[in-house]
Amino acid sequence: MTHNLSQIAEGVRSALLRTVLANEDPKLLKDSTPLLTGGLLDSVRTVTLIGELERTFGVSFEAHEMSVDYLDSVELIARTIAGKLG
Amino acid sequence: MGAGGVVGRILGLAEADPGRRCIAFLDAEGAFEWIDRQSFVARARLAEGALRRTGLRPDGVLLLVSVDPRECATLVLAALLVGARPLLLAPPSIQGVQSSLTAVLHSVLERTRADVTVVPPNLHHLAAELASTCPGTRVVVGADRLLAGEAAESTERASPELVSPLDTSIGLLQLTSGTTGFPRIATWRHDALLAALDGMAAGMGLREDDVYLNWTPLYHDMGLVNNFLLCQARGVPLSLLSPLDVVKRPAHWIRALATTQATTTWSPNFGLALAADRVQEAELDGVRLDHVRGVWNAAERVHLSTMERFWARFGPLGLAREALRTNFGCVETIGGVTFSAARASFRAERVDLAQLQEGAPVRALETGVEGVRVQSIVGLGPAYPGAELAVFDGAGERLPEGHLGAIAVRAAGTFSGYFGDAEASRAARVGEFVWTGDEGYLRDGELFWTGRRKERINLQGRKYDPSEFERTLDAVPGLRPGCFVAFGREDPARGTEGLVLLAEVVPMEPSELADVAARVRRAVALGHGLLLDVLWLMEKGALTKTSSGKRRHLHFQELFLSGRLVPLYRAP
Repeated sequence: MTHNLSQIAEGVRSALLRTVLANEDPKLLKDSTPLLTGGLLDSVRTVTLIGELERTFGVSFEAHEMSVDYLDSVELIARTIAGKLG
Repeated sequence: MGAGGVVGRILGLAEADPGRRCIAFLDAEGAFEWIDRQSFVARARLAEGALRRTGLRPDGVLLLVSVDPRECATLVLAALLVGARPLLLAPPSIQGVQSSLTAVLHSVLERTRADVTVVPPNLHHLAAELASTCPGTRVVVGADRLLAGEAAESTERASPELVSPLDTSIGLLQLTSGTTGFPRIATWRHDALLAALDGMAAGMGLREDDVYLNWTPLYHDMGLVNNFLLCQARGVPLSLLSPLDVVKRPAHWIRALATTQATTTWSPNFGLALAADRVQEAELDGVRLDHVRGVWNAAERVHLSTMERFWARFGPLGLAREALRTNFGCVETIGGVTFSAARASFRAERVDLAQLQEGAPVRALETGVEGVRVQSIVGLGPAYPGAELAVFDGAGERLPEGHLGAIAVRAAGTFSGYFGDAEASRAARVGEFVWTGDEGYLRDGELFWTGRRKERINLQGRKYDPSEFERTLDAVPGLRPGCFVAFGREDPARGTEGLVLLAEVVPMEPSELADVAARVRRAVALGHGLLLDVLWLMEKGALTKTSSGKRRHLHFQELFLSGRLVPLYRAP
């Protein structure tokens, strides 16, 4: 099964807005918006988001992926998930 | 030679009943296997040998940067077996996010001159830096080899197999929250630690058939003392979960209460809120909580609304309302010192906020008093047997019940002082009492906590706790939730303090900042009837918190008053 990156990104945006960024304006959340380095997510919110993503996509994040290199934007998260889904 | 202190107690229990359940480490799927007392001590002995060969000496310090329950539990006991002093630090949860860890590590190493420092693999880049700046410490990356009994490197400093700590010697070190710059290092003597643990057991009504489940990190005194050391010293089985697994999936915690048949568990208020809000029905299939006797809420302000939400969510699974318990304690009291009663549901008082701020005797209000701004304050129970609570005014006079003041504790189980800081150690005591740094009042012997004392702001004769602004500011679009500091600034002309608020903003265009500032001013005025003397909007990360997530009002007050802060936007 192939997974469209933009569909995954939409799923990530949706997870963000229904959980840890529920009070944010969706228009401010672009695929490239820095989530961690931009101050939208702290560590507790990030870990909460990861739990939601693991449940939604049926994937598991590895310890080395708990990093800004993999989690700092919707685009990066979507690529990480796409790599797991194959 | 037999070992003394806490480690003597632990070894004695293992010898008396070696096959009894001792500890379990749950994986991310919730699977676990109980390890008996004898086997856990054997695992710790293996690591003890490795630590000795790596250079840890009796009376030396092991600095451990870890959140992993298996590493923390095993290496703490191993260090105690060496006769050394373990000191745990929090690693960053997310790699690459700005953290003050490096600076804190240097500061702690400079003061303690730790023999061995263990850092997690994702902080391997720190190893070379620490080794060069702190040549006295041996830096070990990852704890796996130590747990397997392998020394990180050979050393000439291997010490003889001799463990017999004096009861009056320092057993453990623990960082304070660090509201003023870098954290202080509290020292706990073996005899005081045992007194505190036995007091806790009596205060909470610990039973022989209790089983503990803990997800709070062991670098926090809630995890280390109220859970790990208490269970080890009292022979109570303890199952441990990773804090990251629980924040990721709070149902993991609730399900584990059922699978381990744990009777007792602890959490800060935010953990209860997380579970109440995020656990889904499908995740609770088959879970019953009838056997749970204590869900202890501690370590931060206990919110009545959170307690009610938690009970509404999990009461239908059999959780008794009486199981929701509350506690107060701090590093200086070596963990928990007050415990709400086992036989009754927690108490809460509705008090007149204005009256509280004016310093008048605190009177509990009936519901529905018109024209009065009410705050619900949850009771945290009386002190455990043998400990005494007292409340003092600013002049050092002891206050009667119902009067707001500084909370102090007299008990055998209190800390010895701050490591290498005699002046601060002296200032931490008044007579036989230890200051907790908190403020509250007593009612029928029960403690009602109202806030951190030193962070109180005095505005025109009224006192405010900065945490009172949290809900207001969290609702302001454009501000980063929880990322603010508030403090007073003397205004000699008016003879009072002005309110200073510094708040971090989410990324936005500079042209939007004025609107955010206007919304903040309006929210504070409407919510609290206060005008802001100074309002600065700050960049993300400017207002760093302590490792346990506490805001550092006093620290940033110092920086602000000394002109060492730069705002993103200075509101007119």
